[in-house]
Amino acid sequence: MSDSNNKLSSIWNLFKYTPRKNYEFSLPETMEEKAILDNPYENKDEFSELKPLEDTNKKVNLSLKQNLDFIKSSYNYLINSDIKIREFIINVRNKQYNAFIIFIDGMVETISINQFILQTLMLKNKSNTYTGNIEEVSYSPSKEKFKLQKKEKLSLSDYISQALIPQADVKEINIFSEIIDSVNSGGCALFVDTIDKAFVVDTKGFEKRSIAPPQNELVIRGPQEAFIENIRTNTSLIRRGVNNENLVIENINVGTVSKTKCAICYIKDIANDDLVAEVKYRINNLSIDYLLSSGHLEQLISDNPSSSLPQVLSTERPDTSITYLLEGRVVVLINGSPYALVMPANIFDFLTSIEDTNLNYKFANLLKFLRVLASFITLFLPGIYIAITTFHQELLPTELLFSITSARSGVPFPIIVEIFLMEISFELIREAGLRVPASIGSTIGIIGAIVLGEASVSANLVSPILIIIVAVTGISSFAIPNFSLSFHFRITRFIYTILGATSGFLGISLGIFVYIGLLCSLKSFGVSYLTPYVPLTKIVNTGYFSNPIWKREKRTDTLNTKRLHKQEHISMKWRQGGNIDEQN
Amino acid sequence: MNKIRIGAIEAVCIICIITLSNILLAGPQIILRSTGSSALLNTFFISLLAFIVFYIIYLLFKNFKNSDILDISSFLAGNWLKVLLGISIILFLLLYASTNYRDMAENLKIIYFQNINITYILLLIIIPVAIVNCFGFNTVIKCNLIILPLILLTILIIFILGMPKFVLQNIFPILGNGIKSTFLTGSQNISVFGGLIYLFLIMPLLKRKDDFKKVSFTSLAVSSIALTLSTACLLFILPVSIITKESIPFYIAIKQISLGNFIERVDILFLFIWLLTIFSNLSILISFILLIFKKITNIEDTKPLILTFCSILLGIALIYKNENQLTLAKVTIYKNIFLILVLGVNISILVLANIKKKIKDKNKTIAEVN
Repeated sequence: MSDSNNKLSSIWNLFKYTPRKNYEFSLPETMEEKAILDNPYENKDEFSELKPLEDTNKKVNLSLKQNLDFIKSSYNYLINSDIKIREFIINVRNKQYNAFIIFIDGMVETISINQFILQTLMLKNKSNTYTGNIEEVSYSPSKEKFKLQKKEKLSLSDYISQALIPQADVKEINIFSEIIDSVNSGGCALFVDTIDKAFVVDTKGFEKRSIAPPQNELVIRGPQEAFIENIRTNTSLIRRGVNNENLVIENINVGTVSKTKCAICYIKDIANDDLVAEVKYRINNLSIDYLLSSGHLEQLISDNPSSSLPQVLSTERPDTSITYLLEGRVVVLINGSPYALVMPANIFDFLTSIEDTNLNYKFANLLKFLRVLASFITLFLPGIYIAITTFHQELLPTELLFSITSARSGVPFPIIVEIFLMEISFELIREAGLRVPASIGSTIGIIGAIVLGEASVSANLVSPILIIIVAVTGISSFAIPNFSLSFHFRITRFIYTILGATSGFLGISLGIFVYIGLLCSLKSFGVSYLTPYVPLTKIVNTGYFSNPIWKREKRTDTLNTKRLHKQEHISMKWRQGGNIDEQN
Repeated sequence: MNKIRIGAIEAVCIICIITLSNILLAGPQIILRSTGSSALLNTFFISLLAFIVFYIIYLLFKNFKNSDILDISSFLAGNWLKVLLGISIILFLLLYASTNYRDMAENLKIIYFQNINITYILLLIIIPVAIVNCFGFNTVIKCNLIILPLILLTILIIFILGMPKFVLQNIFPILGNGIKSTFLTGSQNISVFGGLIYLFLIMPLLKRKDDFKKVSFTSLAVSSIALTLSTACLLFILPVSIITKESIPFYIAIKQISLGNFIERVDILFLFIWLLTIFSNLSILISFILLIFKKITNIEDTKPLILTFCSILLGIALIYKNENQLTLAKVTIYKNIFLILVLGVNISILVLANIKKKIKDKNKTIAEVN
C-alpha cells in the first residue's frame, strides 16, 4: 500500500511547482546577443564596438587632489589590492608640500622606496632645508682654468629631481598614460602639490627566474645560458656578448592593453637600414590588444603567416642571437618570453645548430648532412614506402619483396590504414609524452614501446617492417634542430603519404614540385627563403655547408649588410709570422 | 611584365629546361629514328647548326636591346603583326606543350598505370603546373634553378651507370642511313633545341641586357652536351633496330641499368626526374603563354587565366586519339612549324626590322645634317 502511495506521490511531484535547486550561470553566446540583451528595443544592424579604454593621455594637473583622484580612478584603487598609494608631506627648501607616491606592491623594491624616496623627502636634512643659492664649479677648456659660478635658484621640480631624489633613473613625466606605463613596469611615481608633472623613479624589484641552462637547444661545447622572461636581463645577455657600442636596442610597446615591451636589437654599422626599418614598421603597425609571447609576435609579423613553414627563427640561446646579430640580422626580444626572434631567416637556418660553429668544420658538415638526410627521411619515407609497395614493387629485389609480402600477409588493412594507424599512434605518444608530468614520462615511453612494438604486431594490426619505417621516420624528425620546422615536416609527411598511396611516385613527384614552388615563393623580410641557392648569389663561404673558420671572410650577400667582410683575407696572421703590414 | 627581371643563370635554366625535357622525352629517339647509327654525328652537326642560328639571333638582337620579338614585330609593321605573331607563338607553344604532355602521360600509363584512365594521369600532371604558376612567374623561374641541376646530374649518372652496358660497335656504320639523312634531312633535327623560341622573348626580361650572348651560348653548350650524352647512351646500349621499333626506347635503355643486387631497376628513380622535368617544362610554357597574352592584350592581371590556359592545354592533349596521331604531331607537325615559325618567320622579322632601323637611322642622320 505504502509503495503505491509513494509512486503516486512521485508522479504527482512531476506536475508540482518545485523551486530551482541547481545554480546556473551563462554568458551571452555572442557579442551581438549581448548587445540585444543590453538594448532589446534598439534596432541595430551591427553591434557596437566595445567602449574605448579610458583616455589616459590627460596631462598632470597642478592640483594634487585632482591628480590623486585620477590615479585612484584609473587604477580602481578601492578594489585593487596591490596598488599602494602613500600620502605624505615633503620638505623642500624648508617649505612643506603635500605629496603622494604610487607603486605596485610586488613589482618594486620597498627598501629602495623607503630609503631613497620617503626618507630623503620626509625627514629633515641638509639638502631639503638648504635655502641658499647653488654654487657650481666648472672647467673652461678655452681659458684652461676652473671657475666658480653662482647659479640662480632652481625651480621646485628641478630641485626635487636634481637634489632630493638620490636615484639613478628619475624621469619627469607630465602625461598620465606614460606615468601609468612606468608604474605598471615597476616604477614609483611621485606627485607633488603645485607641480604639474610626476617624478618617476625606477624602483623595479620583482621576483624573476635566474638565468638557467637552455631546455630545448642543448649543445655540448657552447655556453650554458638561456634567455629568461625578463627583457632587461635578456638585453644585458646580448649586450655582454656583443660588447660593442654600435649595438642598438630600441624599445617598442605592443598591444593597446598589455603594452608589452619589445626590444629591437641590431648592430648599427652592420645591419641593413631598410631591414631594420621594415622590422620596426611591422611591429609598430600591430593593432592588437595584447601580446603575450614570441610565438604570438612571430605569427603577426611573418611575410606569409598562413604557411606552416617557419619564417622567423626563434631561439632561447643568447649566443645564437649574438651570432645572427653580428651577421647583420635583427633580433627581437619580448618581455615575458624566454625566446628571441631572429629575422630574416631562411630554411637553412632552421637546419643549423649553434653547435656547428663550435665544432671543427668537418664535424659540423657531417652533422649538417645528417640533418638534411633526416629531413628527407621525415618527409618522404612513409610516402615512398607506400608508393613502392602499392605501385612500384619492381624497384625492390625479389627476396625483399617476398619478405614484405609475407610480413603483411596477416594484416587485414590496406597499407595506407596501417601507416596512418601507426603514425597517429606515434604522434599521440609524442604529444602525451610532452604533456605528462616528468615523473610518469617514462611510463608513456614503456606503453608506447609495448603498444607500438609488441602488441600491434602480435595482434596482426601492422606489419613489423612498418614499425621500422615509422620508427626511423620518428627518429629522423628528432634530428631536426628547429621545433617549428620539425612540426611542419610532420604535417607535410601526411600529405606525401596520401599522395604516395593514391598515385605512387607520380603523386610524390607532384608533391615535390608544388613544395619546391612553395619554398621558392616564400620570403622572410624580403629575403628569399632558399637563399643563397635560389636565387643563386655569391655563395662562396656563405652556403649551408661550413667552410673552415679562417675562410669565412664574408657575411651573407643577400642581407646587403653595411660591412661585407667579417674577417681579413688572411685572418691567421701568426702563420705568416705576425702582422703582414708591419713586415711590409 | 616590365617588373619581371631575371638573371643570366635563370635565363639559361629556362632555355635548358625546355631543351632537356625534349632530350629526356623524345629528342635522342627522334634523332636515332631519322639517322640510325649516325645519330652521334648528327647530334654534333645539329649542335653546330644551332650555334650558328644562336649567333645569328644574337647579332640580329644587337640593335634591339630592350625588345622581344613582339616589340620588334610591332616596330616593323604595327600592332597587327604583333598580335598575329603573338597568337602564332601561343599556338605553337600549346602544340609543343600538348605533345610533350600527352607523350609523358602515355608513357606513364604504359609503364606504371595500365589500369588508370589517361584523363586522370593528365589531370595529375596539370594540377601542380597550375598551382606553381599561381605562385607567380618568378617562382616558376626559381623552381628551375633547383630542378635543372638535378636533370643534368641524372643524365650524367645514367651515362656513367650505363657505361658497362655500352656496345661501341653500335656506332657502325658511321654514316648510318647515309650522308643525306645525316646532314641534309637530319638538319631538321635542330627542332630538338626547342628552347630557341625563348631567345626571341627573353631579352626584355633580362636584368643585364649584355648577358644575352652569355645566356644564348651557355644554354646551347649545356643542352648540346646533355643531348650528346643521352644520344650516346641510347645508341650504345640498344641496337638501332630496337630503338626505331620501341615507343619508349630511352626508358628501355635505362631499364638495362642496375645498381648492384639491391636496386635492380633504376628507371623508377629516373621517373622522379622525368616527372619534375615535364612539370617544370609545362610551368615555363604556361608562364610564357601568359606573358605573351598579357603583352598582346594589355590586360593587367593574368592570374585568372592560368586555369583557362591549363584547361586548354588539357583539352588539346586529350584530342590525340592514338599514338600515331601523337607521333605525327610530335615529329612532323612540330618539326615543320618550328622550322617555319621559329627559324623562318622570326628571323625574317628580325632581319627586316634591322633593315628598317638602319634606313630610319640613315634618314635621321641625313635630316640632322640638312
